[in-house]
Amino acid sequence: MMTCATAVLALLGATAFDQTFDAATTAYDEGDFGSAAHLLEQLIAERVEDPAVFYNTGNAYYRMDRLGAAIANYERALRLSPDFEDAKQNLAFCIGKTQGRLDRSLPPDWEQGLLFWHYGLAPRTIYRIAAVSWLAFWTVLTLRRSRPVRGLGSTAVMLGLLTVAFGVSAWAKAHPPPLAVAGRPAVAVRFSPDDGAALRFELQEGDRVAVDLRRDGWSRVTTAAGGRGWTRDNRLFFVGPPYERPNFDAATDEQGLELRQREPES
Amino acid sequence: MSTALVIMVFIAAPAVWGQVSVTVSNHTVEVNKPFLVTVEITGKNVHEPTLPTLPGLVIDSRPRRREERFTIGGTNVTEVRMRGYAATVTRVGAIEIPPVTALIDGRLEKSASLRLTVLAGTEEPVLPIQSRKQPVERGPLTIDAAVRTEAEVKQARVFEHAPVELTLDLWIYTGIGVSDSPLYTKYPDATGFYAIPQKPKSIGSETRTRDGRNFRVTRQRQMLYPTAPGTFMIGAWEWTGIAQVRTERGRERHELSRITEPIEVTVIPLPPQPDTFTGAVGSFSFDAELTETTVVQGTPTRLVARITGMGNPDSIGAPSLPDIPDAYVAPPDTDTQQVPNRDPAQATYERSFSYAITPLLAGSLAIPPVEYCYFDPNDSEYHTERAGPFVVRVLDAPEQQPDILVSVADGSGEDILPLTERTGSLHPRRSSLVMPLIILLPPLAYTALVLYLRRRRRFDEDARFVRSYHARTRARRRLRNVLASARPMDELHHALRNFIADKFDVTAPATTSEDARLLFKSEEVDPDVAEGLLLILRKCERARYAGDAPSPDELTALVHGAAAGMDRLESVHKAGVAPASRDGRVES
Repeated sequence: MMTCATAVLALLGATAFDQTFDAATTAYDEGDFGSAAHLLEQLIAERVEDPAVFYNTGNAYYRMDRLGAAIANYERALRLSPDFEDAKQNLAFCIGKTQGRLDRSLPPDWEQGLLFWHYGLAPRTIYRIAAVSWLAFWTVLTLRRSRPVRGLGSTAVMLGLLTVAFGVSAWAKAHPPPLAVAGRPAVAVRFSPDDGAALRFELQEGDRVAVDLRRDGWSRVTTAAGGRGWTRDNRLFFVGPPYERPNFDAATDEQGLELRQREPES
Repeated sequence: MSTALVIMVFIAAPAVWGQVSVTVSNHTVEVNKPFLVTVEITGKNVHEPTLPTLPGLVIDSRPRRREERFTIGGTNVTEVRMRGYAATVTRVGAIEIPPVTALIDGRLEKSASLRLTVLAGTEEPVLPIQSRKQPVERGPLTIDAAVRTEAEVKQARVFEHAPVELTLDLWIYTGIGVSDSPLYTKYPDATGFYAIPQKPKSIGSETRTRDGRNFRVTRQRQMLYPTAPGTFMIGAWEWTGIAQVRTERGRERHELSRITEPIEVTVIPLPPQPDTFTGAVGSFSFDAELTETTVVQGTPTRLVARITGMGNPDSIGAPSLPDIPDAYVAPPDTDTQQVPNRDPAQATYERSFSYAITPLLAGSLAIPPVEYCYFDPNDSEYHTERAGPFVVRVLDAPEQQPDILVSVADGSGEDILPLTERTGSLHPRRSSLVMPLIILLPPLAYTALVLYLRRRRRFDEDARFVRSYHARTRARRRLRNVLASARPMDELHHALRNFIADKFDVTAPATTSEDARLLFKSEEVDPDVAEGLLLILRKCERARYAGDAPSPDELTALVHGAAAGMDRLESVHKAGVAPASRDGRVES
């Protein structure tokens, strides 16, 4: 059935990426969630960064009982499209399923104060506005140089300010606070990046943490409540960008349910 | 007259020489009774004396008295250094104290030897009654009995880590005066014990009666905690002080030394310990409390356990908390406080252990009872006290901020929403040149425009610059016509002359070779370049005025030479350099 769908799509001139997406949708509908997630991860690996791709990936992981991976992909979708209502709903639903129901760490206070207006805008929108205001600024400057007209100076100043504002916003969108999601139950967070270090606290699957340092396979994480410590990278799902590949193969993760028992973290 | 002067000189002379003299407080002393040896050293540059050694003679090398005096006579400064040492003789009979030596003014000087008579111990002179408040005297009082030291422990047999109360009493007859600060004291050596305080602490003085006489008793106390089982000796307490007494002979000062007997203490091991024993030995009370009984999930509360009582505070270990599911327990913070008390034996300590407990789940967190086990040496029993259990109400973590990235959706459905469809064709995100171009092109274009406009304005406003700018082009054009011209030398002359005039903004017809030479000189043109062009100019002038026409080959060479010279002049002289002249004539 998947082969037929692919052939039809090929006849219709769809791109290979579209075909992969549609094949993943078909697999999902047939209940083969592992294959669906695997196909969608291939798109992500090919740098197809689309909110719909991330959303559907999240759904597939949820069906596979991979709560952490599902939450991470919904977060990815919302970073690209903050007004994606379905992603918001599903994210909230999955957060409700977690044990901790921990908040996500907020951006720094200065950023929240300065860029309070940009959180509802998609990155693409901000990039476009920034580019347009940049071009307009130089155009007005050029006009003012070649043909001085009253009012062009103040227009240039306003455009310049607009450019700065959206430029900073674009930079913030391109460099979001690193976020990760605990990918399994009872993720140990220790005082130092050492398996022998004392346990500081534990994250439950789906808990979201900010990551401010990564070193030698360890990440220093901070919860919204301020708890901080080190944990292994392979216990986390990094929201990104960059969108890292998961540390498991979704297609063969049938025994994942068994593996995700509470592992004794020494 | 002269004889008297010599005597005086001889008498005076020894005063400036270094000398050492020794005196004793008594030439007749009792065996084992301390007496004072005083050494006096006189000289300009004196050093400490070297005391003699003799069997049977014990001199304490630590001076009990120190004094330095300086006398200035003219340019001479003489020091008199006095040292007083306590000494005892341990055998009866006569003894000769050897000379005491000292380095004075670079020379080793020595004192005379001293002869002492040592007697066996005899009764000291009777002390008279000093105060009417004294009770009825019972016989004469010796100095031995007037000052006494006593050391005792309250417990000679104790458990390991249990306290040993050491008390030091100084008894001083009220009829004599004894300085509060002893000359010397050495506290008992307490090896094998942990001492609080490190030195015995004075806890006060009182008047007591003994043998019908009043004594002022000064008491010091120290708590000792044995660190291991076994038999230990608490060493002697040595005390030396000065007593002033009034006897039949009058007022006298006596240096008195007293020493107590060592004390044996037996330390027995603790009875078999229960598993929960914390190591605390003493009399304690235990309690624990929570700082907050309602917290938000992920926020810690503190369980503070306090142990209060008398005992070695360092032996008070932390209570072991029971397992608390669904919570993280951090290692405790420890704090030790002492309830101030003058008497170390009455000192009370409070040690607290504060545990941060972070509930991981919302709801109700039950903390089982906390136990504390200690050993009380008073009844030789282990005691276990309990506090708790405790309950902490854990609230849910608050909802997310709706205006930051993700608003809190209802999430109250029973399942997630279905898949979504793609909106249009999917494409990978590729590194695009568009954004860098958008960023870079506008400022580059603007900069280019500004430069262009600036140049154009210059062309419009600066004639000198324009002339110089176009000089080479015009000259090239003329040079191309030279060979085909009917009068090539005139044409060449014209081209070269106009080029120089345009270059330096002078009037062309007025530019002769001589003018050109002066112009080149004033403009500091490279001599090689100038010479080449001048040569061609002169050739042209000769051809014109003297009829000295060159051959075709020579003409071609002149044209090429002129072109090369112009190029060189163009390269070394940038367009727009203001020439020296203002009216087109070169000033000679």
